[in-house]
Amino acid sequence: MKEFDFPKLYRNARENNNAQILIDSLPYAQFLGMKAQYVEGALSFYLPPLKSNIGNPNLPALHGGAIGGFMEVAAVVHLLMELDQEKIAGTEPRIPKVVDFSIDYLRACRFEDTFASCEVVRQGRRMANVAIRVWQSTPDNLTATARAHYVLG
Amino acid sequence: MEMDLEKFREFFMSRMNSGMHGHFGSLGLVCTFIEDGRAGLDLPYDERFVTNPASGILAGGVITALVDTCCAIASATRAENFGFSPTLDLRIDHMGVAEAGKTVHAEAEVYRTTRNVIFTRGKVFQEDRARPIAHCLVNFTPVAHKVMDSQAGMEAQS
Repeated sequence: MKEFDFPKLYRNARENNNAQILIDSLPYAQFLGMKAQYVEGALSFYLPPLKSNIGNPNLPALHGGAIGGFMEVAAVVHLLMELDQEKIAGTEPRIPKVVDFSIDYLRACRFEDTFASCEVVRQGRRMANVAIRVWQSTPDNLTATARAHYVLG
Repeated sequence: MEMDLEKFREFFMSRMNSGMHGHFGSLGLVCTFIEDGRAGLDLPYDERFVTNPASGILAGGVITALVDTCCAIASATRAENFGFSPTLDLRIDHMGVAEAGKTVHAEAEVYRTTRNVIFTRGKVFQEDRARPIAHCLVNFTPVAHKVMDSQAGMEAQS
C-alpha cells in the first residue's frame, strides 16, 4: 500500500480546474503517456505517439488495446472532473469503477497525435453512462467511439 | 512457405521469448498457449498498470488491452495465412477487479468465422478460473494477408 491521498488530489484538481493533477497521480495513465488539455475551457485528452503503444508496426498503427485504455482512463477522469463525486457518494470521493465498456474501432489509429473527448450521457444515483470519442487530425475524423457504464462513489 | 498451426505457434512463441516491442512488449504479455481457434495470454502484475495506488487494483483499460490481444491471437489461428486482423469492435463486462500482486490470465476462443467477421469471446481471471473477473466479445474483420505478412510485422518489432 502506498501513500495516496485521493480525496486531497481530487479536491485540488477540481478547485484548480486541472485534470492533469489526477492524471499525474494515476500510474496507468502515466504508462500510456496521456495528458489532459483544455480547449476553450472544455476538457479533452491527448495521447502523443509513443512506440510503446504501437500494435501493428507495418502500417504503423496504435494498438487497439492502448486506445481502449486511453478511452477508459479518459472517461474516469472526465467523470471525476465533471461530477461532484463527494456529493454523489456522500462520503470520501472514490475513483469510478468500470462496469462495462463497448468500443467500435472505426479506422486504424495511425502513429500520430490522438485525442479523446467524453460526454456524460446519463447520470443516475449509482451509475453513469459515458460516451467517448477518439479522433486524429480533426475532431470529425473519428477513429473510435465507445460507450461505458461506471459505478460512482 | 506454407503456414500451419505448428509453425505459427513456434514462430509466435520464439518471437515472444526474444522480446516483443510495441504495446505487446510494454505490457509484458506472456502467451501461454495457442491451439486451433484458441489462445491464452497472461499479464504479470505490474504497478505501472494500477489505477489506484492505495489499493493496487489494476485499471480496467489494461484488462481491455489484454483481452483484445488474446482474442487477436485466437483469431489469427482461423485467418487466412494466420494473419492478424483489425479489431472491428470489443465489448467487455467487468464482474470483478484485478487484485494487487496477482497475475491476470486471459483465455479466448473463436466461436464462429464467416467471410467478413471472425467472432471471438474471452474471459479473464486471476486465481480461480471458475470465477472470472471479466468477459468479453471481440469481432475482427479478416483481411487478405500474404503468407508470413503478420510474421514479418512481428520481425519488424524485434
